[in-house]
Amino acid sequence: MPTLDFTHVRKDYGATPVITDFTASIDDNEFLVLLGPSGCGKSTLLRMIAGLVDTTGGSISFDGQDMAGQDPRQRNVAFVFQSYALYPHMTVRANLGFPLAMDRFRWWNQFPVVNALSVRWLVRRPEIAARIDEVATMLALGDLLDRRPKDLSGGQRQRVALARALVRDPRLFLLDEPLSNLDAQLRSSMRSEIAGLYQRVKKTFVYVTHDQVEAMTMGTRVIILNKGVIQQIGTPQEIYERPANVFVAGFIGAPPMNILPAAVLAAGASDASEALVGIRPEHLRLSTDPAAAGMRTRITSIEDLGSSWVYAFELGGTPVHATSNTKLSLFTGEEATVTFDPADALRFDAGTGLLLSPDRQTH
Amino acid sequence: MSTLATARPSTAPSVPPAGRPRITRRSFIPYLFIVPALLYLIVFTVIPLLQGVAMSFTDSKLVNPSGGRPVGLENYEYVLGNDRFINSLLTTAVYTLVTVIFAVGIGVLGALLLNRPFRGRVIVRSLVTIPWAVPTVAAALIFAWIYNQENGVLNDATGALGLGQHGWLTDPTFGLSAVLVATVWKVFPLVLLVVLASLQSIPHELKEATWLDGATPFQSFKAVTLPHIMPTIRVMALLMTIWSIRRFEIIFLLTGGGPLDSTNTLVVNVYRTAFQDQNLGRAAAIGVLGLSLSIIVTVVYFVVENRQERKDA
Amino acid sequence: MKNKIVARVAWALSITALVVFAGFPTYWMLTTALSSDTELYKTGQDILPHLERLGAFPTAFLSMPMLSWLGNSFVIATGTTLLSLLLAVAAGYALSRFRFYGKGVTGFVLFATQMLPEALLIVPLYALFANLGLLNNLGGLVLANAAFTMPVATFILKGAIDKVPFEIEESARVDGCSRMGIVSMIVFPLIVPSVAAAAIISFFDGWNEFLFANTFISDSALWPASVGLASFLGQFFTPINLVMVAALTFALPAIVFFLIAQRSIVSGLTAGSVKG
Repeated sequence: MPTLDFTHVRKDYGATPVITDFTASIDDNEFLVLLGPSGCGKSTLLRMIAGLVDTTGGSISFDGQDMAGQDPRQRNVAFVFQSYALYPHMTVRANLGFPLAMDRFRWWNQFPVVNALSVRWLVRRPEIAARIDEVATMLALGDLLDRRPKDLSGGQRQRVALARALVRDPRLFLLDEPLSNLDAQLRSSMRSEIAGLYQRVKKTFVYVTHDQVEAMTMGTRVIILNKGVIQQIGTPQEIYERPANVFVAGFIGAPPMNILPAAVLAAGASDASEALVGIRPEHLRLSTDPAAAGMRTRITSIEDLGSSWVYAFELGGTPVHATSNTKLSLFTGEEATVTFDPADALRFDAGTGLLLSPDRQTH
Repeated sequence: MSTLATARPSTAPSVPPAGRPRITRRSFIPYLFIVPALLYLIVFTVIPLLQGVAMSFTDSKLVNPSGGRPVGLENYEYVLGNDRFINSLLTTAVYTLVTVIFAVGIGVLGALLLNRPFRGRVIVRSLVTIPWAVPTVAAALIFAWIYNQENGVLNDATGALGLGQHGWLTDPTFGLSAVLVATVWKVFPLVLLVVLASLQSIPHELKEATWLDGATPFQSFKAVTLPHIMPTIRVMALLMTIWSIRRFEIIFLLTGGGPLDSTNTLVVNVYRTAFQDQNLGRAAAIGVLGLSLSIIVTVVYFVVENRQERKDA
Repeated sequence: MKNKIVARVAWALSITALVVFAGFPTYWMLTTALSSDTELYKTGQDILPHLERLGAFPTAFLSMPMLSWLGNSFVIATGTTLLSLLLAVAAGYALSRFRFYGKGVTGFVLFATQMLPEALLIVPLYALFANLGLLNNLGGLVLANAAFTMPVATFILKGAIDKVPFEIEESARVDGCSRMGIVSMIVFPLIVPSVAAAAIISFFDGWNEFLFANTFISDSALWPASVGLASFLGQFFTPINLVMVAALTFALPAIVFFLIAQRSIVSGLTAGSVKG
């Protein structure tokens, strides 16, 4: 739980629309990824789910209940920020205990000085201390409880942020690009930790990122956004195999899908000669056989990634990439022939960018 | 089952960058935070200001402040034609100009001198801060003693050097200069500290780049240092100007506006007209004129500044 | 090589001149305070201070109503500081975080009040205070002073609050913290150095203030030290060495605190306005 329902959600900052007509239904216990380039509005959307930012129009519901007017605490959500947002002047223990202390605050605890002292006192209470220890052990933070955030490494701070999210046992986990401040190695280990957390906790996760690798590996359902408009909703596989439009096709995959005018590829252009054809780099075949049939081109560069090779060349003036898992006897500057299976090609309307065909059935 | 949204390439205008999120709740809480401060300011500054302006159009006297009758522009006519007022304008102009030139000059020079690390730099910087820290009343007392005609150390020094002994605060030839020295002494440390902070924020790589290109220290200064601190200097010059027009205590305490009105700046004139001549209406008129002067200076400054920025861009 | 030596010497001379210019008057205060009456008025003051006479300070001190004056100064300064800071924290937070109508106007008013000459406002304020019964009253002085100190404090605190990452406040909201809790438990501890700088500036604005105190207070028992000391100007029956003892005592706290806090004060004042 919970299920999330977005109904025509809209957000404007002054006269500028940020989110336009966002409608979607998410089952409970999904790992939903909001994917999109910087500035597409995904962080804003996440904050609207949390209740940190008001919607300008439309509604967001948890388990069918409209959350309008409810502040973050009432929604019982946890939020992991991109910068972790740990309280710098408090120990890890106080950071973890803070939400629990807030739960127990009465009106008279709110006053200055009283509030700080109350937090300090509450954090030592048995029930709260026990819960802190429990969560700290879960994330291997037991030794760090008395340190301050500035004494921790990036990965450790990340785990404290996760622990703080866990401590109140919320019903919904919201994560705002939590891995973008980590270096590559740490990123992949934290990715598995978050994924493992999701498996253990069995609650709904909403995860915002611009990194499509994270989206494809972690998500059970992905919503791709561009400039505040939903481009596609689907499972990672659906999005990969059947992108809804040119934007999605070009966004997913590394290197991204090659998009070329149909005329260039001469790939059975039936009616719309203005159609665009998309073909993934791994579906392109290169051959050095001068007698082979196909499009002629000259290799402009080769990237050796160790387990695969990326060949760059041009077709009709447009840069194209092809990947191969075996080393081809090709060198930069050499001529080659490019072929592909027409069944692997996707066609898009040149004007709207929408997918035209194939109508392949998804598994 | 995938849901293909009816998406088309977006025609929505591009989203503003995330920037610093603000709380835009349409609640009254922001007002709760800001209203006390604002109200307070309005009651104690804006309203008296308006009352002062109103008073300038009456013949109100000190014995009965609120009992003035409206007299239209009479006060202004009198003041603008009055020699004393013209004199106070000139005195203010001279006072301001000299203060700004010397305070900024010494401040900048001092900052440049202190910019390189040396043993005892902290001590020197602390010593230089002292004039700023000393209360104006104390400063007035010591300067009055230094300037004292019979027993002051300045006269001891000038006498020994053969420059004669003078009434530094009592002789109209020297009164303004004496007050100016005390003023510059008091205000230059702030300029120095601010400019020094600016100097120390110059990224070292910029200077290194000029050295790599073979520039002399002077060329490096002109190319990198000077442009970096110019905005700060301009701001400090503006502040010094406005503060000079406003400055009251040090002048009044040292000379009371004399000798022979040689240090009678606008604000001192206002005070004396109000509390010695007991003419509140006229004092208010002088004050309004002085305030207008400050406003004009600020406006001119911002216009020039904008034109400069447009040229830089 | 010769150029370098010349430059070095010039630099050293300039620094010395600067130090002498800046330090001499305060030094002279000390020397004067330690001189005897004869030296002052008959034979001529010695250049070097007679530090052996420091022991006479306390008696000199007590021969004037200095304690009462300093006490009044302290009350006024403390009151000014507390009131200014309270208003400034609230206003600084609002200006930093909120979007609301009239925000630009508020900022402008805060800035513009710094341009107003007190001499112009003194008369209407006098009338206002007379009507409110706030004349001759330390509390009234605190109210008047705080109005002029609060904008600077607000400016410093706003700059400091701008630097506190907003995500930390959002996190506290998710954790269930009230707005008042956020400001006092989360934001305030993170801006303490700037609060200290603002406090020092406000305190010494109140401590040094002369004009309002002189005009509004008629009861000499309520005189702060600034007015008390000013009463020595131009009169001749109190010997100048005693006056200097008083003046030094008055100036010393200000000097000490400004020396300690100068760096954070300057950075607080220049936050954002110094380019680069």
